Amino acid sequence: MKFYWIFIFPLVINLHAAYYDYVYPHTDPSFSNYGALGLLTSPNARFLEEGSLAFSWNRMQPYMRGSIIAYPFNWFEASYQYTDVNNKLYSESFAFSGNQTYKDKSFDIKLRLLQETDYLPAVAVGFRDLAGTGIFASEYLVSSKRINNFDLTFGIGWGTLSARNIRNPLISLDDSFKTRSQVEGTKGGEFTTGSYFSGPMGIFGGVEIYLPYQNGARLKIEYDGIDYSKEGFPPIIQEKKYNIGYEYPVSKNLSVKLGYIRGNTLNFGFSYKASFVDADSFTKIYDPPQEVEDAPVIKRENTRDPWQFYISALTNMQSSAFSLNEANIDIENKTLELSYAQNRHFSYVRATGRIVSILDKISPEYIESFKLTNINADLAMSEITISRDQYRRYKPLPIEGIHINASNVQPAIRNKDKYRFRPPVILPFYHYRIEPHLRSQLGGPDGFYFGDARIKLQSELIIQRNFNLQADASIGLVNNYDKLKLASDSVIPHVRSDVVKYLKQSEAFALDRLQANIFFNPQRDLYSKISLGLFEPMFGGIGGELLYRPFYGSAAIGVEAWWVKQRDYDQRFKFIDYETVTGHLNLYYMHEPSKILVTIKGGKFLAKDSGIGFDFSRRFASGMRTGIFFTLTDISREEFGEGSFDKGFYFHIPLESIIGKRQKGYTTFALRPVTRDGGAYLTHGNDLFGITDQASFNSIMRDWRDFYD
Amino acid sequence: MIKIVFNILICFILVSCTSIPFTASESYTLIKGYTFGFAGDNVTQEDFDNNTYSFAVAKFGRGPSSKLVLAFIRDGVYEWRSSDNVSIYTKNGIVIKTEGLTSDISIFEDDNTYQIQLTNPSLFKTDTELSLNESRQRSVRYLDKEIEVESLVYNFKVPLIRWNEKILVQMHKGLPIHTTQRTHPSLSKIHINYFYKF
Repeated sequence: MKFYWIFIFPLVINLHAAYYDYVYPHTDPSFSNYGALGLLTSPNARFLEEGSLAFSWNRMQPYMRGSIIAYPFNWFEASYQYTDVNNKLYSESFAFSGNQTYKDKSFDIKLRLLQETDYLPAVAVGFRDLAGTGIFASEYLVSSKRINNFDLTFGIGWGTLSARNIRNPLISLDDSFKTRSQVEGTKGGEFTTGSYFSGPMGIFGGVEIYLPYQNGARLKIEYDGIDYSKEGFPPIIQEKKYNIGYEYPVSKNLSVKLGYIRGNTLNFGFSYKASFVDADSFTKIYDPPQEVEDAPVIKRENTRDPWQFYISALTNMQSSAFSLNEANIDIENKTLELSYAQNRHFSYVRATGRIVSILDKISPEYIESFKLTNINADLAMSEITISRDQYRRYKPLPIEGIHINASNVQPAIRNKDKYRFRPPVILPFYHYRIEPHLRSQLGGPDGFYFGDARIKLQSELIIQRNFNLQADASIGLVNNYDKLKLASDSVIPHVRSDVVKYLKQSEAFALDRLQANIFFNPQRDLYSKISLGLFEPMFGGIGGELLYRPFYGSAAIGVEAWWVKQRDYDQRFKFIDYETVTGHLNLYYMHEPSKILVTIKGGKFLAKDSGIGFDFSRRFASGMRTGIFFTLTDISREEFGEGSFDKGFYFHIPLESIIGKRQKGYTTFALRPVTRDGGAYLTHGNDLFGITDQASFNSIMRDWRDFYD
Repeated sequence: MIKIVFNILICFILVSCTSIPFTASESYTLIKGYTFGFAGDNVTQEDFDNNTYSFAVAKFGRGPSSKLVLAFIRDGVYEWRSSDNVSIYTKNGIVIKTEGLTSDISIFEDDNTYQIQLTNPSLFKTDTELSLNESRQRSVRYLDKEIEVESLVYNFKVPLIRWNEKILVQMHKGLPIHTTQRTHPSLSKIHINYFYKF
């Protein structure tokens, strides 16, 4: 037990000073060679703050591993690992795989059991390769304790983390813990619960030593707990049981590392992490409210002439990217009522605050309140009434904030007739943008990354306020699809697994979407949409959606039905001979205490399989949403193929967090272990639950802190 | 800059069959801004004439500029305040205090020695050394004209946390017209140009 010195040594050091954070900056935990937080090969009991995302890349012969790690809670770590195993070919048949090396995709999770205190360590339980092929499968119980600049870790593990072959004490509870075996007949992607915490046990541990005045650089020394005879594809030679590494944080977010493991292998890598927990927490956005020039003069003129008031409200709102739809002065209640649409602010409440700021500067003094109705796709979302006196009173003290409750945030009804000022809109109105675009295929068996750089036209023709036509098309510039070869082996209709054909045959030109939508708001809390056209690269057709979303409620229910036909692989106007009717009953429930949105969709999927899909996601103040999903349908594991059932996780990252300027919208990043055909939903633009997010009292209260931003 | 470019690259790599829908012109503006500077970084004579009050243009690293207005002068300390409630206090061109930044600094004299306080993370009343290292005459461009300035370089040290910096102050007719200074170990250098209406 010579390695115990590394746990005892730091106890003799004692540093307690106010300057500690400057001597040891950037002391966030770092990532191991296995993707998630840890030492070199060992996990630890550390977590990043909730709402963090990270990417880690590491080269450690015979593995090259890319990992994506998410922290939906500060007690939960979920990671996806894509590993290139270069001591094994992709297939036993050289004719099939050529020189292509083995690729492994897996999910890991870790949960904190005990938070660190002054005297007790943090304790966590974790699972590696939870539902993959099992070549890295292990479970562990780990503790970490920080003592000054030493972060000590000690753990026990099963599966591949069982190097010392200690007798498993759980055997005394049940004989089934004695042996550990892969479930027979698995296609991979299943939860092999029968083997968890089974077989021999091992120990692992080490220390992360933060070096003083080195910008957070640290040394890592560990006792390697991996049993290399059980991991991957042996033989992997281990000459020494101790590993050593050095990690240097280039910045708060980016770290590089170098290590020496097994006594014979150098490893190197980097990691990048980002926190999305607070608004603007990742990228600071400098976006002060726009000043109104000559506001006192405008206000004086507006007091004299109400019509002038409407026009100046229209122009001043327009210069801050708000579109005034209708307005009316309610003389009796001394209120300015207006409806508006906007496409700039991710936070609806910030948009409301900015409009009130403009109106306060230009409105005659007899106006005592502003009643603002937010419009999206010609559907009325919400009606917020702000007292001008309160707005002014709290403005210097935005921390305290303006008082808001159900009496001044109400559901809205679209009623254009109640407004006197209805500026004419010249329709049809066409707008477009041309932008660089990247189609990516990540983590496939042919290689880690395939990409297609394109120029994309995104356009919208607004025919009526509630009737639009979306047209997206792209032309290819350069790609590396020549090595993308693997054809679908699916035995059910190829509704998704022919993605390679779609990507390759639309290299030159693709009509990505040509979709007409018409929206209705027949009564309060009820929204509907009918759509026709080419909805997505693989399907086109006709269908509709109906959503009942009570404004003050936490739940919503919707129904959708579509007749669709599969598009030809060249993504132009032709179809191939596959058509189906797909549809779902959709239930949404927002659990306010945990901020988790539960979505359950039951019905018939694109491959004519029937079943239920579950989705659990959490949104953070920055607007970043992270979630997991899985779908269980009536097709067998054999019919589904590798992975056994559809599952994965995703992030919606707000664009403004990436580009550092206010912009509505987000980019989606979704990962599945494999692309299969079972449990596949139709993708259609403008889904009603998404566009009615602001038609919810809870959504408005969620963002209320942005009012004076 | 590194963060934004890295974000964009990471997202380009990671985004699965989707796009980063910001327009080519927006990307160009951002990249150009971070590379060559943003509009508003340079103040022309016309910009100066259009302002009623003395002001300063401050810029962290290569990010966009912010305008601050001279709010008070007390005992030789100039307080510059921005519309988003950031205050920067300067004395002889050296930033001696900030308020409203993610990490603030406060430098003060105590028994003829300089002391420093920092926030986020906190550092209380720690000895600081400030000494003039270099002084020379230089010609610089200011409000569309070449002018002669006295360029002063100070050594700034906080021995306890091994923080060593150089502070550049350019003086013209007894008034500072430019400062380059890191105000906190975790922040980028701030570049401030001052414009006086008196």
